[in-house]
Amino acid sequence: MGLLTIIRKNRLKEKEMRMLFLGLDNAGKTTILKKLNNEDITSISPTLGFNIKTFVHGRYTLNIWDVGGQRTLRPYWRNYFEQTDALVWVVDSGDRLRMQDCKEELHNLLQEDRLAGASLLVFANKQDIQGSMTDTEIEQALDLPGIKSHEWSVVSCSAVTGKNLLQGLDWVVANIASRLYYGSILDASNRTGSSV
Amino acid sequence: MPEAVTGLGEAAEFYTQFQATRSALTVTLEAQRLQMSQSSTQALASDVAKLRKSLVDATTILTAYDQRQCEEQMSALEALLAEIRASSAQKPKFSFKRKAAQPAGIQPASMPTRTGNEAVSAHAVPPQLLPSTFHTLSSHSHRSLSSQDIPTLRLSDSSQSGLTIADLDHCLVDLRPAVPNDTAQVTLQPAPLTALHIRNVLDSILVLPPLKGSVILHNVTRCVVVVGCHQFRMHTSTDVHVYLYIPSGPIIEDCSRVAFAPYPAFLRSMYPDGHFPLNNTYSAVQDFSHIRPTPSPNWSLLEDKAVVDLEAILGLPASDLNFALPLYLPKTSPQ
Repeated sequence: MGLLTIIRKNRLKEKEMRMLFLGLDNAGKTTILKKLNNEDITSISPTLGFNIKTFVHGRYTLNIWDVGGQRTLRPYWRNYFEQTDALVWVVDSGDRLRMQDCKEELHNLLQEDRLAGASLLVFANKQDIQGSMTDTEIEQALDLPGIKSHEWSVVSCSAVTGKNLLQGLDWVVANIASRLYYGSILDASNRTGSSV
Repeated sequence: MPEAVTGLGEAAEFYTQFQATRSALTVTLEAQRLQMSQSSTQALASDVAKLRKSLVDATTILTAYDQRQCEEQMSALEALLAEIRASSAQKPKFSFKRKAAQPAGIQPASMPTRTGNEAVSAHAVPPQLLPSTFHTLSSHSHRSLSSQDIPTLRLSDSSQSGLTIADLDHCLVDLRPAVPNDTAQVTLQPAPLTALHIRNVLDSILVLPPLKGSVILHNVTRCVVVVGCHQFRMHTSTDVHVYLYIPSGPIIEDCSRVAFAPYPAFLRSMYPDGHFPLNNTYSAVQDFSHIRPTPSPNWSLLEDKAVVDLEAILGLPASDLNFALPLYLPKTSPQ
């Protein structure tokens, strides 16, 4: 327990990233997290409150906050904004009826000062289901090209099959790292695939 | 930084108080609007004005996000009040269309360009060229409907598909897979459903097969819904009887007079070996509009005497539908 320990601990702490998983209800936020953690996804109930997951991804420790998306819970999102490195916005790609709602909630969030500078990853979830909108369609529907205040990326994925979940995380981790840990970006870059 | 801490505390306190007053006022105003009585509009108006003043006073302590939220809610409240006044003055009804104010100018200087796409696939194809297929069953009334009425679904050969059911009135929807004793039919079996979005359905019966995914419903009134699924969410619906097989907790939000019952026994044959794979937790309902220890007044378990014989109505000829439907639908019983 000397100075070295303290320095090491500090060094480890530096490699932490805090991510916020938000989106409308039924988007699949909890399912994505459980799938990433290799947990059972067959009996997930709609989230009343929030879940926290911590896991190691590459050289970084990710602290992920998954907050319920029911309309009643949305006013509470504001309690989780502090210190957020990335916002992961999860979209139910089959829910055409609520795309407008989805877009408005997202753009509302992006105006929040405490989220300024956070990276934005949009997961176009449920691609395993036929009839879902493609990532390009989601990009248009949510008016992502209109976002100038955040660096963003849209990744089509499926929480049920696990397709592209890690690739999405790779992008967001690399994007945060390039901002926060400039010195260590080289270590991270060999994990980031250029094709998703 | 003691000042900052007190500032935050004050802001939180104001926020809670503001929300409490606002929801109380909304309830009173809604009641006023429905009864059309003019007794205390004046008093309500002054309460609204008071709340607006307190919001203006608190501008300095609120964060930008909270301020915007409160501002929007305040405007909604004032719009409601204006509507009440207008209707009590016998003027033609009107409604506001709020234009979202988009402050485009303020952006963090650190993010001058978006580099969003370069790490992900290059979007070489213009978006219009690849529209995804969209299975939908919508805009019908007084009809008996089955999976044959969704042409795109019948043609699809994929293993799973999502379906949107919208704008139905007085319909009987039977999406059970066709019984394979009809020899020629087997090859035309529709793709199994994995996701369902249901919206604006009135006075109808929906009999749905077991799904692997989730069901989400909005604005369903006086309906019977029979479904097996992994997750069940129902919003803004009233007088609905739900016969459910589900391995997670079903949830309701902004609903009233909803009753839950187990998935009917005669439909069990749609599950492998005629058994449900997991426990049915249809009665573990959570009401997100009533997050308190007391039981929610918005839902109940369906009484035995109110359980209807769905097998019978599914066997009726379509011509009898208009006559039979009302007998099976939940009775509207104002409490």
